[in-house]
Parts: sequence; structure tokens; C-alpha cells
Amino acid sequence: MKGEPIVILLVEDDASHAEIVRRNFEDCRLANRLMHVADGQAALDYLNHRDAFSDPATAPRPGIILLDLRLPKVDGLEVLKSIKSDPKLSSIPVVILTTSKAEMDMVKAYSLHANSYLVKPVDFMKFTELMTTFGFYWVAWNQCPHE
Amino acid sequence: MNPVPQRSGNPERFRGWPGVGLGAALLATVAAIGIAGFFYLQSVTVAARKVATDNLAAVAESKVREIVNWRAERLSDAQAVMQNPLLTEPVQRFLAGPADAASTARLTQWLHSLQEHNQALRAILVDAECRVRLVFPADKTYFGPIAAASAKEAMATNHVTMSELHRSQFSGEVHMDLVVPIRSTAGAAPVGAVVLEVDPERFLFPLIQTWPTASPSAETLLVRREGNDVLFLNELRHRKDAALTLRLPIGQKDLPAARAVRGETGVMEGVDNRGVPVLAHVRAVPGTKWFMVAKVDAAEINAPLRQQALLISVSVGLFLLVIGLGAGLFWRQQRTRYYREQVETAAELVIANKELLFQNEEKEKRAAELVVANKELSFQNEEKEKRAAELVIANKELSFQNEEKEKRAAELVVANKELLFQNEEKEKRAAELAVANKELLFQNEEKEKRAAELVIANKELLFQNDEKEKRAAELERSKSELARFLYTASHDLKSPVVTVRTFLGYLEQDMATGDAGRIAKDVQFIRNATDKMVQLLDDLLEMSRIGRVVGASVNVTFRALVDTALAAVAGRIAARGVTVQVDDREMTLHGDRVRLEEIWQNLVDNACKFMGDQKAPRIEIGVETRDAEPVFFVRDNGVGIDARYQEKVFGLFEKLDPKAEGTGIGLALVKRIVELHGGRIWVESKGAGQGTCFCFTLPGAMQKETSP
Repeated sequence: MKGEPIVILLVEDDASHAEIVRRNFEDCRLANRLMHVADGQAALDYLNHRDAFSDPATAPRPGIILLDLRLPKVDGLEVLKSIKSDPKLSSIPVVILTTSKAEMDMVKAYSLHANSYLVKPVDFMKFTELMTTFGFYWVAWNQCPHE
Repeated sequence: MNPVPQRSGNPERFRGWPGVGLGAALLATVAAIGIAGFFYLQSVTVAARKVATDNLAAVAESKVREIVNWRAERLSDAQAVMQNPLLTEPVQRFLAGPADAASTARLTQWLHSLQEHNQALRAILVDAECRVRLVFPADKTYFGPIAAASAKEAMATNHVTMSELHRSQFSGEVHMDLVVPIRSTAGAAPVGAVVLEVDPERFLFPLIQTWPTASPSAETLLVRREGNDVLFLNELRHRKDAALTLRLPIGQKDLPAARAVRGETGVMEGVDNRGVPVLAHVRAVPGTKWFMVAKVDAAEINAPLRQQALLISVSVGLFLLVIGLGAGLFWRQQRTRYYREQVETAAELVIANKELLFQNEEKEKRAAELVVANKELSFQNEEKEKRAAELVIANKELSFQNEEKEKRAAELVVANKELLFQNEEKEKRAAELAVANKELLFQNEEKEKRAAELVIANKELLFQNDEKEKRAAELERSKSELARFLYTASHDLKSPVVTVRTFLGYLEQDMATGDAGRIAKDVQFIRNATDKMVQLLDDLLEMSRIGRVVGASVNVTFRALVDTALAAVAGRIAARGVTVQVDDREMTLHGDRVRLEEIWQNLVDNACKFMGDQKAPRIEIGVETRDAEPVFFVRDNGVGIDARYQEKVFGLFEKLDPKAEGTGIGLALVKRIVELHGGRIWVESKGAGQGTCFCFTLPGAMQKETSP
């Protein structure tokens, strides 16, 4: 995927949070495509090209997934488990982005092979910084095999 | 029954064993005697031969000795004549001169005495020229050549010479010439010789021809070699006119005379001039050319042996014959006796056999009878044994049964005593029982009272246990719900806070840049977030209230509850244009009115919210009877709920559609209230777009009606 921008799939039920993420990516001028789904079921449909996302053109394979834990329909951890157990999808890095600092959630996430776990900071500055760092690290620095 | 007569021996005896033995013994004896005889004969033969040869040797020896002596005598006598000068002188004178009558007579007398003394046929005086000068007997004046030769030799050598035996050609007589040469007194030349014709017949031949013992064939021979022949010198015993006549070739192998001439001496066997086998002893006569052969016919030696052998054989034969005859006689005698015995015993045997046969027949008859009797007996024995066995068994059985009987009798006695005793006891007991019965009756009544009380108490306990369990379960549920509640709450509260703060930041930025559009958006986001927070807090309060404040239980009709609920959400109903149909059911519920109202309120509210694109939204509220139980339902024809989520919808803060209104606690609330009233709630929906039906039971609220 040299030269081509990485697709980032954001799985987030709160629209405002999604907006935050989107705005951050815009500000960073990370030339990426941000795809947003609002619940767990939609995320799985997207990744497996089902239902609304049957057309692969509407659901390009993401290079990285930002996953919230609390999702309607299918819970975030369920989605994570599903992704990581699917050989076609397991190689995509999944970064948990959630408000929950609960140890239990962290343990569960890592046990299901989450690649990273980020807690949404309450502070605006920190949030921005987090997003920027995320962007640079995972998009610019991190190397992925050509798919 | 007669005893069988004893026999003298085995019937086979004389057919084989003794005859053979005897014959063998005879044979052995004959053989032994024959061998002995043979060996005896052998030894005797050898001995006889030895004796014969010794004899021959002795004879030969002695005869040779005698001949030698005779010759020596003659020669010495002649020598004496020669050396007597008294004799030689007159002879010399006579030979030299004319012979006078006196000397002639004297010399003739001397010749006569010589002739007599020397056993000569004639005595001749010859001169040096071998002319006969004087001879006695005077008439025989012939002088042969051989004599002449001898005379010449004697005169030449001046030694007495004896010639070989020869036959005179004049007289035909056999003689040998003994010549005595006469020398002159001077001693030089011979003047003449005296020749004596020695007559062998006087001594020599008789000597030879006589045999010391009376032997029919023995004789001695004198022979000499003449050229290639052996000349026999004397008259032979068995052959006439052999002397100096018989000649046999010297090479004749077996002729002892020839062998003697060839130089052999000693004992030899051979074949004599007659062709008869002889035993001979041969010697040379020393001082002569003669050989002496003393021989005897072999047959003569063997004859006595043969005789002896014959005698022995005959005697032995006779002896054996005698023995044989004797043995034969003996054997025959034995045989005769044996056969006689046999005949006797045979006769006896015949009688005995007849007897035996008869007895055997008798025996067999008896035996047959016995067999029959035995069978009978054995059969009866078997029968007896069977009976005996049966008896034994029967006895055992009887004795056993007797024992049993006695045991029983004893037991019975005991039992009787026991019974008597027990009867007494029974009567005592009966009396006591009567008393006790009364007692029991009384106690039974008491027990039943207690039992009834217990039953009630048990029911009470069970009920209380149930209550406890309900409490415990509720406690657990409350705890877990609380945990989840807190978790969810904190999470959901945090989320809007994050939004607010972040967008405040953005607001600051946007205010700095003066982007009005962005500012408006930011503010909107902030407002939304705070609204959410408020709602959340309200819901939380509501949830907590369900657990805590429970209103007084009143009776309220189904219809009344539904109407109140509908009134509460009338706005939404109208807004969505939903048609609501309510079953007209007469039912009275008993419980917290507010809470019960909330059930329908929330369900209807949800139904309205989730009508989706439904053009003719419709809600049905009613009561069904399923499995003899009243089931309340709220049915809509809205978006429906996917089967996967039909359980989840009741989760706290669980919103299937994040965009939808509300915090997602509605159904959780309803579930709580239903469960408080001991009921259960579930969703029936065929899936997306198929509408939804929420069903629930409220047995707790029915209690007043259903209790007996």
C-alpha cells in the first residue's frame, strides 16, 4: 500500500467522540480515510463485507481499527474477539479507545489480543495530543505488510 | 478216579536225545582212538626208522672198519714180505740165475704159504719184466695186463700195491692183485715182484654179504666209479652175476650207490638197482676207491609197522565194535523197555482218558448247572443288595425323621410352656393395653393437633425459606446489578464529560479563529452531552428508586393502569401517529400502582420510538392465557428486534440504536418491576421489520385473586 493512504476504521457509538477523532485527524493532516461505524454489528458487517457493506468499495479494508468497548448490538470485546479469531482480519491492528479505565476491561482486552489500549483523556489538550501521537505512531511510523 | 500211571521218561527220549548222545560218544571215541592210533603209528614209524638207520649205520660202520682192517692187514703182511731180507735174497738169486730145484721148491713152498696166508687164489712171482717165473698153483701161469700194470707200478715205486678188484680174463674169477716189489739187496733196482691174487670170496665178499640180523632184504654193496658209471663190485643178494658186471649211470638220481659215488654219505632214502624203495646208509671206504652202501628195503622197515598198525586198528576196531554192540544192545534194551512202558502207560492212559472224558462231561453238566445257579444267586444278591440299600436309606430317613420329631416334640413342649406363660402375660398386657389404648387415643388426638401445627409450621418454614432464597437471590442480583450499574454509570457519565471538555477546547480554538459555523457545532455537541448527562442521572435515580421506595399495594384494574400509562406518553403517541388498541379485560391487579403503570409506560414509549418506517404504526395491549397463566402483552408493528439482541434489550443502558432517544434503561426498568412482582418478561419478534411483542407475567400482582 505504498503511497496509498491507510484506512482507519473507527467503531464508536457516541457521535461527539467520533467527531473529536475526525477533527483531530483533520488537524494532523494525516492523509487517511476515516471510516466510522456506530455499533459492533456494523463493524463486523463492514469488515466481513456483509449486509450494508456488501460492496467492497463501500468498505475498504482498514489498516487500523479504533475500537470503543461500549457498543450497542455487539459489544466492543465481542467485536475484538471476532476480529482476532478471524484469520483474514486478525492481522489488522486493533487499538481500544475507551473512557473506561477499569482493570477488568484492560485485562479482557489484552487477553483477546488487543494491540493497544487507549483511555480517552478528559482534558482537551491531552485528547488532542493523544490523537496526534496515535496518528503519527500508527499511521506514519508503524509498518504494515502489504495486503 | 485212577491216578495217571507214572512213565519212566519223556516219550521223545529214545527218538532223539540218548541215541544221539550215544552215537556222538561212539563217534568221539572212535575219533579219539583213531587219532591216538595215528599218532602212535607216526611215532612208532619214526622210531622204527631211527632204529633201522642206526642199524644200517652200525652195520656199515663195522663193515667198513673190517674192510679197512683187512686191507691194512694185507698191506702190512705184504710189507713184511717186502722188508724181509731173508726172503728177498733167495728171490733175487732165483730171479737172477737159473733156478735150481731146491730153491724153486723152496720158493714154491713159500708162495704156497703166502697164497694160503693171504687168502689168495694164486701167488705169482714175476721178474722185472713181468714174466711169470714162479706160480702157485703151478698150473695157472697166466698173467693179465691189469696185474702186469700193478706189478710195474709197484716195482717202479717200490711200494706194495693193491689193485682194484677185477675179473680175470683167463679164469673169470674176481680178484685183486696185491703186489710186493722185490729189490735187489743193493737196493737200487727192482728185480721182480710177488703178486698175490687176493680172493675176495675168502673174506671180503662174505663180509659184505652177511647181515648181522635176520633181515629179508637188507644187504651191503661195494661199489666204485668207473667212468660215468657206478660199478657194483660184489654179488648182489637179489640179483645174480652183478659183481663187476652191473653198471648203472652215475647220474641216476635216487640210486644210493650212484649217490655214494657222487660223494654223498650218510643216511638216505632212495631207489636201488631193482627199483625198490630202500633206506640206505652210505660211506666211503677210506684208502680205497670203494663206497659202501648198506641198505634195507623200506617195506621191510614199514612191514612191522604196518603189521602193528593193522593190529592196533583191528584191535581198536574190535574194541569199538564191542563197545558199539554193547551200547547198541543197551540202547535197544532201554528202548524195548521204554516202549513196553509206553504201551502199558498208553493202555492205562486210554482207560484214564475215557474216565476223564466221562468225568469232564459230568463236570460240564455240573458247571452248566452251577452257572445257572450262580446267575440266579447273583441276581438274588443284587436284589438283596438293592433291598438292603433301600432299607438303609429308609432307616436313615426314619432315624432322621425320628430325630426331627423328637426335636419338634421338645420344641413343642417348650413352646407350650412358652405359650402358657405368654397367655398369662397376654392377659396382663391386655389389661394394660386397655389402659394404654385409652392413653394412646388421647395422645393421638394430641399428636394430630401437633401434626397439624407442624404442617402449618413447615409450610411457614418453606415459605420463609423461599423468601430467604428470594432475598438472597435478590441480594445477589442487586449486588451484581449494582456493580454493573456503577460501572456502566461511571462509563456513561464519563463519556459526555469527555465530550464537553474536548469541545470546550475546540470552542476556545474556534473562538480564537472566529469560525462561527464551527463554534455553533461545538456548542451543540456540548449541549447534547450535558443533556445526556442529566437524563442519565435521572434514570439512575429512577433505577435506584425501584429498589428502595415501594409504594403501598392497592388494587387497581388492568384498564385503569393502561389508561394512565397511555396518558403519560400521549405526546409521543400522537407525534408518531400510533394507533393504540387495548383489550377490554376485567382484571384487577394488586401492587404498587406507580410501578405497574411504569411497565406499560415504558413499553409503549419504546414501541413508539422503534416504529421505524412503519406507515401505519399500531400498538396492541392485552392479556392472553397461556398454559393457564395470564400473560400481558404489548405488541407493535415496528422495526422488530433481531433474535440475537432479544436478550440484550433488557440490559441496563443497552441501546440497540445509539441514535435513538433515551439512555437505554427503559426495558431494564420494566424487567426490574416485573421481577419484583414475581413475573418474567420476554420478547417475541420475528426479526427486523416484523414488529415486536413484549410479553410478561405478574403472578405477584395476581396474588389477591388466585389465593385460595
